[in-house]
Amino acid sequence: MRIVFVGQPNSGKSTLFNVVAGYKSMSANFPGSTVNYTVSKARVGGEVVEVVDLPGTYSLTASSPAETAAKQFLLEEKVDAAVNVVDASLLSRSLEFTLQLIELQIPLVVCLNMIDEAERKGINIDAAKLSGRLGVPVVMTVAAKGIGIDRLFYVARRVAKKRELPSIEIPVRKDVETVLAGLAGSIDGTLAEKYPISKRLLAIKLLEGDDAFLSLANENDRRLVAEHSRMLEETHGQPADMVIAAERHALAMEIAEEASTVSKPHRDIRGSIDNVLMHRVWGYVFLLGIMYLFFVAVFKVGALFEAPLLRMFDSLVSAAAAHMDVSTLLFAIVKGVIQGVAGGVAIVLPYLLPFLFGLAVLEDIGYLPRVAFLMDAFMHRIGLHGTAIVPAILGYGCNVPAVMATRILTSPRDRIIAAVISTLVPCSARMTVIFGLVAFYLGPTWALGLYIFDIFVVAASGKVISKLLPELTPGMILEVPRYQAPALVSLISKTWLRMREFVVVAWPLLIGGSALLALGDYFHVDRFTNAMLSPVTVAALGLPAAVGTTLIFGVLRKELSMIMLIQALGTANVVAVMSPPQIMVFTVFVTFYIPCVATIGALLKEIGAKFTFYTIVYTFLLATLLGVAARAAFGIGLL
Amino acid sequence: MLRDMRVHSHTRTLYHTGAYKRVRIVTIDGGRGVRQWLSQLGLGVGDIVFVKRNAPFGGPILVEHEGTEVAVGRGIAEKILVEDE
Repeated sequence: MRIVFVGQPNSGKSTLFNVVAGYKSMSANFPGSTVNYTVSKARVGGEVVEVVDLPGTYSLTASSPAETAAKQFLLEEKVDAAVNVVDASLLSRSLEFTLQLIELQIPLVVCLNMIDEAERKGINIDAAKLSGRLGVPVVMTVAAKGIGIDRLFYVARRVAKKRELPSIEIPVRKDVETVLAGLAGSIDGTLAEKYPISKRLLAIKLLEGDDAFLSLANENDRRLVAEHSRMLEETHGQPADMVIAAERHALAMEIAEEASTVSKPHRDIRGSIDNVLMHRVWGYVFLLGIMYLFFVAVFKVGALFEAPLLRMFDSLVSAAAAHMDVSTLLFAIVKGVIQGVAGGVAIVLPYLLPFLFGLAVLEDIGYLPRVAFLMDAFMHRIGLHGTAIVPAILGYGCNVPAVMATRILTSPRDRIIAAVISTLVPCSARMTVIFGLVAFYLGPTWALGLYIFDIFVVAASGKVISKLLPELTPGMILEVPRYQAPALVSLISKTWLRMREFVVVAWPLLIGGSALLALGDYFHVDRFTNAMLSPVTVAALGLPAAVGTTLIFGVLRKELSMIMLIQALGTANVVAVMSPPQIMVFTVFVTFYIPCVATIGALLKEIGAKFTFYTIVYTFLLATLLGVAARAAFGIGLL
Repeated sequence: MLRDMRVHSHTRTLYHTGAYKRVRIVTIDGGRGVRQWLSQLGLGVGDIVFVKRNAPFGGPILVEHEGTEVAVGRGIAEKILVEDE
C-alpha cells in the first residue's frame, strides 16, 4: 500500500513523515526546499506501508518545478491514499490547496496538523463540521509531539482499502459552472485519457492556463479554451485563471469560517522576535552576529577534536613504520590508507558534523526566509532577488543541494545566475580546507577574512553574469513562516542524510585516492601530472610542484585536495613544507576553482551542458586570477 | 515629500504604503505568474492585508493576511494597487 503525503511548505509534513519513517527523510522550514520526494517503508498496524513525502507545494497550478513534480506524481503514479497535511492555524489559505486535491478525485484524508498552534492563536476548529463540508475524513494531529498519528494512519488505511473518494464536487457560482460544463462537454476525449481525471477538472485546469494540460491539447481544444476563457473574462472583468482562483479563494474562506471559532489569542513572544531580527538596523546586526557565532562555534567544536585525532593517526603511521620496512610498496600503501582515513575522520568530520547540524537548526527554526527579507535589496544589486540567498546559504553546507534549491526561483535566468554563484560559495568540504589549513596554520581571523572575501567574489560574479544575461529579475514573493522549535528527529535526520552522502560517497574516494596517490608516489607517476600542471601551480601561483596532483583529486571532492596535499607533501605538518602565504594562495585557488564532480552533475541537470561548461571555464580562470592576486598581495617571490 | 502626497491620495501602490497600515488590494498587475504566486499564498484582489514592516534600501514589504506573512519585493509591490481600509 502506498500512502502519499502532500501539503504546503511549513505545514509540518516532513516532520510527520520523519516521525513515521524514522531518520530517513528531510524537511525544512523553508518553502520548496524538499525538491525531490522521499520514500520510506513504515510498519503500521502490522502492515508494511510505503510512505512518500512529496515536495511542499502551495497549489497544483504548477508555477515551479517542485509543483510540477508533485502534480505529476499524484496524477501519474499509483496512489492508494493521499494525506493532505494542513497547518491548522492557516486554515483558509491551506484549504485552497485541499480543494484542488479534492478535484483530483483520489482517496484523500485531511490531516489537520499543529492544532496546538491554532489553539494558541485562539482558533478552534470543528473537525466534524469541516469533514462534512469537504466530504473527506479529517484527523487532528500534532506531528511534532506524535499526537494523533495512529488515528491518522488508521483512517488513511481505511480510505485506501475502501477507495473512499471525496464525496462532493466543488461547487462554483452558476455562471462559472455553465462555462465549465460547456467546455467539459465539448473538448476532445483523447486529452482526458492521459490523466484519469474528470472532464470537469480538465476544463478547470485548461481555463487556469495550466501548461501541463494545455501543451497536450490539440488545435480545436485550444480554440475552445480560448473561447470559454473569453466568456469568463467578459462576464467577470478579469482573466479566466483569476476567476477560477477567486472561486476557490471564496469557497475556502467560507468553509474555514464556518468550521472554526475564533477567540482571543494567547500571548506569543514569537511575534516580537521579528521586531528585532527583521528590524531595519538590528536585523543586520543580528544577522552578522548569528553568522559569526555560527562559524566560531563550528571552528571551536572542530578544533577540539581535530588535533587529538590527527595525533592518533600520526602515531599509527609511526607504529606502522616501526614494524615494517619503510622502503616497501606495502608500507607506502598502508601509509596512504591510514592518511586517507585520517583525512576523513580527523579533519573533515569534526567540522562537517557541527556545521550540518547548525545549518539544520537555522533552517528548521525558519531563519532563512528572514535573511532573504533582509538581503533582498542587496541581491537586487547583483541582479537577483532575496529568495536567491537561500541556495547561496545552503551552498555553505554543500553545493549540490544549493544548485538543486535554485528551483525555488521562478525565472530560468535567475536560476542560472544563482546556480553559478552557489558553486563559488565555500561548501563544508572547502570549509574543512579553509579551517584545516588557513585557520589552523594562519589563525581563525584569516579564515574569516577568506569567507568575507568570498562574499565579495560571489557578489561581483553575480553582477558580471547579470550583465551577460540582462533580463530583469521578476522579484520576490516569499512566505515568511512563523518560528518553530526545531524537532530533534527532523534535525538528526537532516544532518544524517547530508552526512551519509559524505561518508558513503567520499570515504571510499578518500581512502582509495590516498592509496592511489601513495602508489603514484612510489612509482613516481605524480611527477608527470605535477610537471603538467606546473605552469599554473609553480609559475603562476608560486606553490610547490607537488600540489599539482592534489588539485586533480580536488575536482572529485574538494576536501581531497587538502587530504591529498598531506599525502603529497608526505607530512600532516603542512607548514614544514609550505609557508603560511603559500598555504593561503593554495586555499584561495582551491576555494574557487572548478566545482566538484557531484556539483557538475547537479549543474548539468539544472542549467544544462552549455552553462555548466561556461561555469567550469569561468571558475578556473577566476581561481587562477585570484590565486595570482593573493600571491602578489602576500609577496611570494618566484621559486 | 512625494511619498507624503501619495499617502494622502485614495489609492496607491503597496510599496508606497507605510508600515502598520491596513489596506485592501484593488488590482494586481505583473502578469499571470505574479497573480498565481500571490493567490497561492492566499492573497487576491479584495483581500485586506496588514503591512507589517518594510525593509531598508528599497527592500521588500512584509504583509500579513489571515495569519500568513509574505515578503513582497519592491518591483512587485509597486504593481499592486491598494486603498485604505
